[in-house]
Amino acid sequence: MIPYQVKDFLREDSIVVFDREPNRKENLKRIENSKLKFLTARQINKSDKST
Amino acid sequence: MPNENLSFPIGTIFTVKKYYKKLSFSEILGKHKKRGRNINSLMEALLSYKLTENQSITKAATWINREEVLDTFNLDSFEQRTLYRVLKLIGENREEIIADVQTMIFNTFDFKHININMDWTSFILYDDKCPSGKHSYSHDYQPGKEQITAGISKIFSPINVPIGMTVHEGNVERPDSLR
Repeated sequence: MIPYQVKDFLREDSIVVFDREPNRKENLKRIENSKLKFLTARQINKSDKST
Repeated sequence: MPNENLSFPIGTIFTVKKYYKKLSFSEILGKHKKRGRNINSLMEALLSYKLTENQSITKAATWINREEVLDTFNLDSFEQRTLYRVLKLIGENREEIIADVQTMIFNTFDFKHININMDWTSFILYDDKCPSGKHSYSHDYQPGKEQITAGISKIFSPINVPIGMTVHEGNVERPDSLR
């Protein structure tokens, strides 16, 4: 989930912040499996995607 | 009144030289070019230019190729294509260079946290010479142009140090670039 360049430098419980486009179930799962935390935006309406 | 005075930002140049030394960029880049022009002098000059005016490589070559600037970086005048050759060399060795820079950054600074921001943006290419350029969905309504997507990771405030950069063909779906 995390770019390979960066992964080795993160600590357990490091927070990863990204916008809503990568906010998908499989990505969030990968972050949790890596023992990292995340902060992201949530797409509330379908129409938000076009903004 | 027009005059022949020349101005360039000596403070920026000193800062570039200071951190170039502190982060051992001479060793990191020097190992990829041992002959010909000094890659480190060229890169110090190019970094100084990009932190000052940040325009094209062509303009960077013109900016650097002034007697006083050349003296500051111990350079002889050079052709524009020299800068392109240096950048090509860096691009060809980018994986190793980025890894070396990362290692140096983490060995030099004791970061209080390693929390990161990640983001991506796509660029339209106005030429078709870039091997990574690819036709794909254009947010900018230019479907006829090729694109690349660049992603960057940085340790967030108050540290604000970039630690990773990726380039992908076309306008990739952001989640797919999160590998």
